[in-house]
Amino acid sequence: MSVIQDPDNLEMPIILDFAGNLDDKTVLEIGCGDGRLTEWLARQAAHVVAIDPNQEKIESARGQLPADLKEKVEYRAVGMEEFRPERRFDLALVSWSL
Amino acid sequence: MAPESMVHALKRIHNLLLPDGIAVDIHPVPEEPQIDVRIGRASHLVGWMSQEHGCTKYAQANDAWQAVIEQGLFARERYTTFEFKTVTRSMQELEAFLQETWQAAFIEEQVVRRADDLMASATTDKEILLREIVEVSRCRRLTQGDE
Repeated sequence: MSVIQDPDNLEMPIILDFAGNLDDKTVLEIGCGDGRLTEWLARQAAHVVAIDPNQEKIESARGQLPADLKEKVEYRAVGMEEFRPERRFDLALVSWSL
Repeated sequence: MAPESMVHALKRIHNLLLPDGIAVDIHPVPEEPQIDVRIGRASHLVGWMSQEHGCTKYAQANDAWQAVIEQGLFARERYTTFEFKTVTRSMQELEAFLQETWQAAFIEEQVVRRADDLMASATTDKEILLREIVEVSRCRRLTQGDE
């Protein structure tokens, strides 16, 4: 399949602009799917917790994450209702998931 | 997600954020996405993508945000919209993609036929475009509701 999403590359620059400076910030990505946006967030932020209830998508996201970001990203196959984090976050990205 | 569940989810996000934390929400506007066939420089509208329950859930998402803003849990600081395109080489490819990623979505037969006919009329430089208008909000967490 050769599907191209957002060929004009509008989505992530807008999200990052709206997020503001993410240096030293912790991010919760809700509905990360297969991690399409997670890598971008991880390049800017100190730490990203990316959650999605779909185990297959989480596995796929884990598999695609570049090695240099593995320390910064924590993937969890969990819905928001069941999610019990140890910390609170500076930013929550509600990613096509409401 | 039911409307009351959306409000509950936003209250949960409020609890997961640090004081002064930010929520960025992105979701489509409550309108059916347009489907075009592009041949060379010309774009031809062939119809719209449909969804099992229409676009009500996106309107409900907006209502849920409005509810938590009125309750003093968040303040909307910024808002914009943009066009999110999905590009495929055929309607069959688009339908397969939707089946995999967006199970409530479907495309009426006459739309598929119209697109297929147009695609068959050109040999090169052609593609299918699914055009969604997406809205993005930046909302600051307020201290209302803190225990």
